[in-house]
Amino acid sequence: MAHMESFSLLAALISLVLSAVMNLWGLVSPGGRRARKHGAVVGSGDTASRKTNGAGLSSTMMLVMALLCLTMSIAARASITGHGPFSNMYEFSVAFCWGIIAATLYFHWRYRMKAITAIGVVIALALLAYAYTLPSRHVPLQPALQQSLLLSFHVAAAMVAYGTFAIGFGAASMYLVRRQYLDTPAGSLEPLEDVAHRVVLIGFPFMTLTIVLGALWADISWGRYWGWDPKETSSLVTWLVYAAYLHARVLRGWRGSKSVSLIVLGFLAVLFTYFGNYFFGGLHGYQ
Amino acid sequence: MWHLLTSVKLALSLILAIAVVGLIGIVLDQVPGHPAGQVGGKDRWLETVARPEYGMWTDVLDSLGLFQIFRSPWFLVPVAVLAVSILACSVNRWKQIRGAISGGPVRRSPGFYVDGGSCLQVPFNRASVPDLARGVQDALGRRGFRVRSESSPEGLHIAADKNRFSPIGTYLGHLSLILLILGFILSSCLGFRNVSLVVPEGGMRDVGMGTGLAVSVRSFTAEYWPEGEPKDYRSEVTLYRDGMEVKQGTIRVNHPVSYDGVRFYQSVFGPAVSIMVENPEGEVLFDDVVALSDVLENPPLQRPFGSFTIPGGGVIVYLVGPALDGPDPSFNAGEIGVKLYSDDSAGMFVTDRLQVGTTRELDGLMFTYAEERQFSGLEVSKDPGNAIIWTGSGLLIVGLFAVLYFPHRQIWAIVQEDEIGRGQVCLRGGPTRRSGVAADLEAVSREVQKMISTRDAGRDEGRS
Repeated sequence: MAHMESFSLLAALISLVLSAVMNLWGLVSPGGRRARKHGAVVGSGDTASRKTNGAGLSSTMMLVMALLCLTMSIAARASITGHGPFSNMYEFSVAFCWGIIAATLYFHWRYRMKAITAIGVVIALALLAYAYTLPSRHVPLQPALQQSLLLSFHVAAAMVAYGTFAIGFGAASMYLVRRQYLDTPAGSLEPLEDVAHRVVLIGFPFMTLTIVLGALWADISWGRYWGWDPKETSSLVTWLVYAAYLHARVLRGWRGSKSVSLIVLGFLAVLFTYFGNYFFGGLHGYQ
Repeated sequence: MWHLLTSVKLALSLILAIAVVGLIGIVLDQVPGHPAGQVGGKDRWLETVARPEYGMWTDVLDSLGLFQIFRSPWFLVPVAVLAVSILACSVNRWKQIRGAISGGPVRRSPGFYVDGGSCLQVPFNRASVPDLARGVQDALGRRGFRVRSESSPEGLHIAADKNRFSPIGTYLGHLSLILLILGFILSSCLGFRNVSLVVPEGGMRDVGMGTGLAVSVRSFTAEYWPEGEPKDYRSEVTLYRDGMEVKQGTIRVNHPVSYDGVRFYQSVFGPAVSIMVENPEGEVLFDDVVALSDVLENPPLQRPFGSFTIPGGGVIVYLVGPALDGPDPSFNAGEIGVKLYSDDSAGMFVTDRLQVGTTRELDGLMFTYAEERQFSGLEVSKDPGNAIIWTGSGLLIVGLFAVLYFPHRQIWAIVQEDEIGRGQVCLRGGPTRRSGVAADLEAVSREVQKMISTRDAGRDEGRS
């Protein structure tokens, strides 16, 4: 089982690297560029060119492959440790990576925007590479973490939220780059803005669920549901930034770049929350 | 004023302001938030934690309240204004939500479809108006819409909606935030929290805080995995109220015991010793278990110690155990250090050792170190805001999923016949232009078109 865990993790990494290379190649290659010129927006509406473009199809296949391998690795690890991926940074990172790949595939299937897919793959790859640098030893659960069901849901909700937010970050930063530096008219970027918006609609309730389940666990384990622990506070800040986006979007003066930049800010807050336990102590100080 | 309170701009500014305050609260070290009124505790924290870190800025930051930012006006004022704003918005919205649930008027003026709607002309004789109307209604029904219709001289009006209760979700979501704020205030004002109530095995301690409760730990067990990592901590406890036993239970990590709203959590544990002190006449002066729950810094070793006072004797007894974090060469197995102090500042006058299971005479008193025991550190809390917090959280989640996953959609249609008998269908989606109803609109008009063309095909077949 331990062999299977590390082997499928390696396979996932390789598939992800291949997929990233193919995706990036698809963005810069002449074929990719032509497709971009035809479509008003990056990759939008180029379903036809995707069918003729072998690289596009096989990069998706590689991504599916990576997702399967990662699932296998997580399942194998869970069968050894007897619990979900929530006991240390290595397990979180692999789970987070799984969430990003799943979200990337979902949005690829729904919207077929190459740039977003490429950014999703690159973020997932960065995270998996990071996971590789972390100690992955199987350590028995400390008593406070022996709350398997609640914690599994807590981490699963975080996986969905963070995964979709990563895609939102891809769409939002693409929007900003094209709007600010390439002077693309706002009208033709509407599909990108729509994806970014959809992402928040999908992710936000899950982010809320993550925080509530975390509070519930804190209440059971530490005797208080909220204690302004840095990790708690920074998850609240993340939640507030996305809440701000949802409100900003309906304001006339905030439409477009201004509200979209809140999504970028939101994802930076996600990263801050995620890696926070390295720079501030607190009760979430797992290695 | 009302206009300002209900404006999205205000809400947005407040949300962002609270986020910034939160960020400051993360970056700046915060005074640990134990029960209020620990003034000395805060000063000590400022000197030992804040001063080395922030130097001359410490006083400035402290006077601005930034070390307790979540109890300062920086945080409380925007939260309070936000709460008022949420209430105002909810009042404002009530009409709109009632409108959404009832579905609003079915009949709309033709002009309603001109701006923001789209019309489909049906070629002559392809479909009769009643067929067309039925087609539209069926298409809407199949997509899960509730369909209402009304005929008028202008034609047949159709109003369809889906997830009409979803706007209640927005309501719930926002009002639940008020509940969360209320719950939080209740928790911090009426609740209490004692993070370490040290109870030695076999001993009993009062909970205090007006609860009238006392807790005794019958036994404490720590279990370890074969690798040496902690696996489980268990305290078998009995709770008393006014001297009467009211509850027995096992406290484990993640499994608190609660009685009458007071909850007991497993927090820490450590060594304790069972000690008896007699005077030369054989009268027992002291017989209890003493928790060695403090730490004596003796670098590189940290030794646990505890103390008790011999009643009536003016003598304070300190007991020091061997270091917990490594071998302690100064102690033999089963040995503890004992120091006697007089309580009149004369200082220490006896220092010696006690061996478990033996009796020793110190300063004319007989000390019996009967047994090695353990103590259990319990966290005791009462949180009257809890129920409100979980109700609020539940409503928040239900509300958010309802609004964002099952958005309210409306489609209006009018099926008419023009002067020469051709059918015409006009459709318009809502409640707003960007409400994601486009896919439904497209599907309905596609179905109508399909209906027209299949009828067409059927007719062609019939003709041939």
